[in-house]
Amino acid sequence: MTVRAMAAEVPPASSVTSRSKAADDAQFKSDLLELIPFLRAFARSLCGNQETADDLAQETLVKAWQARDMFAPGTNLKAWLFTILRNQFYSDRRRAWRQAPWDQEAAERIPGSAGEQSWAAELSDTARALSCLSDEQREALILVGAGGFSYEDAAHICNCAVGTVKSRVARARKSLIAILEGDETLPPAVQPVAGDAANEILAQLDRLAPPAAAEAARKRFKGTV
Amino acid sequence: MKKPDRERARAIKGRQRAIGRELRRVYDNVAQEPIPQDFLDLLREMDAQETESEGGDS
Repeated sequence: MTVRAMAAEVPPASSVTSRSKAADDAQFKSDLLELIPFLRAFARSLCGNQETADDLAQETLVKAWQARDMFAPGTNLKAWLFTILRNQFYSDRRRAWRQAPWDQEAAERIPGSAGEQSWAAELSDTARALSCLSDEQREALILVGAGGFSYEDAAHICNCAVGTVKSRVARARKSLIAILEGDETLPPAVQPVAGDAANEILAQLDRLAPPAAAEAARKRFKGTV
Repeated sequence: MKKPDRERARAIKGRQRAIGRELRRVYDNVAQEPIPQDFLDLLREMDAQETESEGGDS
């Protein structure tokens, strides 16, 4: 198993481990534990597939642990972890959604082609649209739109300027519109989330989430319809 | 029967927003899942390794 193999390569900690170092490590580990759910969520959003996403999240944990001495306590650990996860995601192209960036032609031949191993298999509409975005646009949208990061933090994670993140998010939104415009299966109604559309999303949730989470989501959702 | 462009544009906007909501919902759902055992085991393995490298000294 790759993760185990990686863990075995962790260089042994210094034998002069001080008490405060041990305390720091314990603190670091408990912080890691707390952030695992967000790492998994980010990985899932990037990969669109639970298995590869969880592998990615685990590798991120191992790398973070190995590099823990480089983390400056008091700074944003979540952003630091997301940076590691993101770098791992990109250095490991087998996890990429699709290599080709979004373009007009691609919009016309999206259906299903994003591969069975990705979002496409699980989420029809959202997956098809997201798989047409460039990696950079998609991650910007995920970090800002779903992860709740500020543009500043997202820029830090993506190692780019704040203005670049802003323009990626804006372009992602524009691209989505263009993709949907090229889509002939637009729902006839103006209300996007009602009736059949709502049922479809609930069905997707059932496939995506464990029963308890799906049930909670269903209750939340019903309250809004 | 062809819909007016304005209505179509509004439908597209609506779907765009729905995609944003769904993306957020997926993220939130995963973030709310209990941490899988694999992850807890992995963290524990890190502990075990530290203990080994310290030669069992405490």
